[in-house]
Amino acid sequence: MESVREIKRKIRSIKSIQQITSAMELISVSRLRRLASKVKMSRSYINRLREIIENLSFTHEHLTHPLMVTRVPRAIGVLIITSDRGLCGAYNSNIIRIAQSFVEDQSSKREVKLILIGKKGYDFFKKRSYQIIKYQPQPSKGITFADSHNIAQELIKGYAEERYDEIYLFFTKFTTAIHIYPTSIKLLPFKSSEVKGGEDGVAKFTSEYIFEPSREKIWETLLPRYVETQVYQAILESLTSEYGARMVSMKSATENAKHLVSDLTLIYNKARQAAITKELLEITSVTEALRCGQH
Amino acid sequence: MQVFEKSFSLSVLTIDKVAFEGDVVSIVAPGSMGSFGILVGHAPLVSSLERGKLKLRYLDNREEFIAISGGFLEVNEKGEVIVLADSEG
Repeated sequence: MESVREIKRKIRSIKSIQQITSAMELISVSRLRRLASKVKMSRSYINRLREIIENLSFTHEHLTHPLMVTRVPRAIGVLIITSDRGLCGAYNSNIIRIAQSFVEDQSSKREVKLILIGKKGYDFFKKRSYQIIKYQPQPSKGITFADSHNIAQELIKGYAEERYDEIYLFFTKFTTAIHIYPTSIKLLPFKSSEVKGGEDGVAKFTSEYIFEPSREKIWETLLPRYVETQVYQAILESLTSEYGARMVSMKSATENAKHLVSDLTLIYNKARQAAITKELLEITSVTEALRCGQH
Repeated sequence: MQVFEKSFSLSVLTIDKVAFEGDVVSIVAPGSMGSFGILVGHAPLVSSLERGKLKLRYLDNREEFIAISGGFLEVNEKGEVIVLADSEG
């Protein structure tokens, strides 16, 4: 059995770990709450955009745009969103796993260019000598539309200049803190049929709309806008999922620490008692021996 | 009852918040082909917006301005107006 002092030291160190994990849990909870409301907002925004796009393409199937042109894919761009920091369970490994198997599969057929957001993904793909075009750390404090705007603009530009023939997006979809899903979507080329039937069951349009200045002009500005919003949404959902994953894993870590402390406390008490019993035994046997000697 | 006939519902959304939600009597928006006004019962419309001010008029004749830096405006079949603003400030 370990010495009493050693057990005591162990208990103390586990308790301090527990303090840290429970603090991290609380931080994640508060960040999560704020971000989840943002996700909800941007979802209703993107749904409205989707409605307008759907309505536009409803009567005008022939609308075209540089972002809708399909080419034989020779080079594809893959945007992968991970986190900068760990301690969030399997969050990063899940998204990296599906992204890697996709990239691995595509690499044999065509050139794959990676655009990475988040340090974890960068560390992973850098070691494996994939072609990384751009890397930037994840905006951990909170993402602004301007952040994603730059990334989205670069992707759109790259697509128009034929540096990428297809662009895929890997991110973690957020529903609730315990329900997060690593997801992939094809960002470009844009297909209006993919927009139809959005997640919230968008209503179909029947009436004729007036368009100002014109259907084509609106289409032209609407499409890049939609792509940008999708990128923003993906980054935002990933960030929210990260805090969700961190909250869950920190919660279980705190609970594990609690169990460990209670187990160790039991062992500690037993050891202490055993030591006391032993001491008492020694004292009594010595006095007994002394008394025997006197007679 | 007349009050209800005069007003319509407007929501101004930006990507991270609801800038305005409520009933108004009229709005004037900075369309890309010039300013235009919308009253109750407008036909379905989609228009792109330029940087400028969105002028709202309430039932009690109060007016309010919301600055936007572009976006889209939609009048749907139900006569509700939705403004998707690029940014509000």
